[in-house]
Amino acid sequence: MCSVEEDGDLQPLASEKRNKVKTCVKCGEPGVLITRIHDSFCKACFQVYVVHKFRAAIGKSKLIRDGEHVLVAFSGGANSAALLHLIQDGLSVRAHKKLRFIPTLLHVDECCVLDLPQSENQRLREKVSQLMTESGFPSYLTSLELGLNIDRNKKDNSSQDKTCPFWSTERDVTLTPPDVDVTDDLKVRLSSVLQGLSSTSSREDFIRNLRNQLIVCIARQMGFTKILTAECSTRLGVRILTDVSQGRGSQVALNTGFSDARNGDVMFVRPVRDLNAKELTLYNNMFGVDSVFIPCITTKGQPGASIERLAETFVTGLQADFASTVSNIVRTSEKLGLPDLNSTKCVLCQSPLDTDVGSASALRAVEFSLKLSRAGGTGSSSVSSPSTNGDKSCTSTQSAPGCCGQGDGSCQTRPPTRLETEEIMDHLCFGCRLSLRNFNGSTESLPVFVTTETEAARQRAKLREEIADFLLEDAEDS
Amino acid sequence: MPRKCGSCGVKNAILKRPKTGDALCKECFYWAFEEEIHHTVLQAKLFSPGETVAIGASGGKDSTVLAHTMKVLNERHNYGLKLILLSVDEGITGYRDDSLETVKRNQQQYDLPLTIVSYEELYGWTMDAIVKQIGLKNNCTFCGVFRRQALDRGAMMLGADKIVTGHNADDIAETVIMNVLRGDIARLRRCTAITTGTDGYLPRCKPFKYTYEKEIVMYAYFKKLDYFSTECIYSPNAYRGFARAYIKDLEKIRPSAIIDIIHSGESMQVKKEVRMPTQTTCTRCHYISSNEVCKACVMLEGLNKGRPRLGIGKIHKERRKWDEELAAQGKLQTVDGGGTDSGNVQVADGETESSAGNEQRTCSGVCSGVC
Repeated sequence: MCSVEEDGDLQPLASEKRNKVKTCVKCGEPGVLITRIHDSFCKACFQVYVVHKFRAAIGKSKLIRDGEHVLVAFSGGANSAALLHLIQDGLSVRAHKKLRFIPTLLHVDECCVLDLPQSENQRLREKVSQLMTESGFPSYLTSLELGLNIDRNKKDNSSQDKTCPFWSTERDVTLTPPDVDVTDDLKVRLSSVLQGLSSTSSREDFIRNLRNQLIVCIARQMGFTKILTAECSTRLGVRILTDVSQGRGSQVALNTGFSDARNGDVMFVRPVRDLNAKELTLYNNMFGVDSVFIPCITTKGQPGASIERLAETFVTGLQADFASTVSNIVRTSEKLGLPDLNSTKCVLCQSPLDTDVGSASALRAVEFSLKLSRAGGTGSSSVSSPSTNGDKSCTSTQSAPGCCGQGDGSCQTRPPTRLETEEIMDHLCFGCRLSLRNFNGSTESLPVFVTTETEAARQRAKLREEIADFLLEDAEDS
Repeated sequence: MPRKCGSCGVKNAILKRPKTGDALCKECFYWAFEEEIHHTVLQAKLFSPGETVAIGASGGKDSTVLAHTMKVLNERHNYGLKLILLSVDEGITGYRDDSLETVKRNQQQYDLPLTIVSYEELYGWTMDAIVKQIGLKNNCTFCGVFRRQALDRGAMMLGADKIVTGHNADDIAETVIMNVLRGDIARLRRCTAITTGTDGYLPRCKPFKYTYEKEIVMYAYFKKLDYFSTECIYSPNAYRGFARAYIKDLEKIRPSAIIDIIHSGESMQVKKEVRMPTQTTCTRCHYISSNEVCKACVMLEGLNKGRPRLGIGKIHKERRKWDEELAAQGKLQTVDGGGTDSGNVQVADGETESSAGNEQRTCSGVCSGVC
């Protein structure tokens, strides 16, 4: 199929243009680097450029108030390190106009999802906490598996009890959480959840959501309302394509905008979203900013290891040839609107549910296909009969734990677990359904907030049913 | 041991459905394939009884399967539609002439009337002639813009109420990704609609919106349908090729990704503040357009005046260049001949793309009254 290509200007950059020595576009001194498409900068002007982009993003949004305490999510990677440096720089006395917020750092330790030797884990942790302590800001650590037990509604900050999911770098130099036994159990549970997920893409997606929820929960308990993350435009471009490819189209604006208010009282803010990965790396390189390389589950994998990895390969590959790729993608997302944040939310990622769609939609089309090719028959009668779908026994819960696995309804067993994956599915957004599809672990190993909130939602639905006769048509369910 | 069909459980399965991963026998697959399209037609309320529907037929697999399925469903479920085949002859030797032969055979196989409209008669240009002018870059732009209009004009000539095209789920997913990459928010919003053009001219619908390309191929293969499978001889568009490759790679990782992307496209909302192009009609040909003069007319003008790049890329850039040249010539004339100043030279200011100043230029007549 041929296509209508409006913009005839999309041609790969001519290579001879790239390597010419140029003078700085600002001051005329010899340039030391080239950014954007072919703008050359000297070191001083480049710093002004980066600092301006960072501060302008914060200033324009008017979200962060004077003297506000903010939590900075710090992974230790290049982007985080650059953000930390920019904050330090902005708070230093020599800054032209001092930044007005007061940062606290939080690092989520994710070694448990990687298969690294213990010594390597220890090295990463020590390096990260060294970077954090050197910054002089109050710093806290947490561990991903603790996300499984968090209570999203908890608001107090009595951080001295044993269930507290975070600890200060000062309090514990050995970098171990307060209760080692509990975390060891949780580590086992997390790996069983990850094993139960059907693909690397699902695992990656689940880890990201769990991490975000853990950070939000900790911010809430510590009394923060803003979380700064160091997602750069390249990262966001990859995120947008990954989201679109995973059915999270309605969440693109939340996941990649300057701020993400889906969690209500705690907001994610992305102050370096106007800078790309190359600019931040150059910044680190030029100003001696130290960072750690933290592997993720697809590190060293094939480009096809997961959807996110593929999207990354795709975006960075295009970016090399078409320098405006990333900014094009990010600009697209800026034109997208937010979903209604007051509607019912996904029990995992907390984004508004996008599954209440009309009868002519992708979701219904897939449901119909599944119905046809699993429980149908060639006869014409069964097309119209809804009974094939209404049966909640073994047929519809294809891979629920405890089922004989036939999936044809022959065994007639009902799994003994309290909540079936299928029941949780109803309370997940399209994207999270994809991640948990064919989950074959026990639902009890899933994050506590997922199961309790599903129970609560089911309870509510039951109550609503009881009073349904007395409800007026337009009564809204809050 | 051969696997049993997941649907009837009686016959041996011969294929694994790319869409759901289920193993089915041939009959159950045909049945599921057709019923799903019927489901889409019903749920999206694509047709009403008594309508005349033009099937955009290129002779390729999608449109051949579309023609076949539409005929089958029309009879099985009594849609009460009058189906006609409509082909566009772009005038590409070695490609379209061969595929049109396939359409002519389909006409007999399915017993449906066939009409062919050609670029030559509509615009006075064949694609071969256009490629000679513009070269192998951007030629697809011409073809795409012209084809869209050609289909509409053909269908209107035939008195059709609707046009159906064979765009499948893969095509739509690809377009979503393309539009994200290009930042084309207006198209991003439109591209997942199953019916487009409801407010202007003939509505077009895509009954295969949720149908995987692979399943269409399987259907055509097992039914032994007669279709033409050669890529266009003029190289396919490079940038779309990237999106296509990405979709294919994605499908390998997670087969449902194609539908997932369509879901994403359907559930994306556009910010209220974002300005959208308003649809009006072209002042020359009265066809639906987002500018005063539609793309096809601008392109045609460019071709007829020997400035084929006029319709490509930033319009005002090429327009300005041309105007400057004309102005320079005008000045020369003024110096030489004195007297008559550049009365016919409209110095467009470059910002108002194809604005009032350009209206005086009309087609030189070759386009047989389209402009």
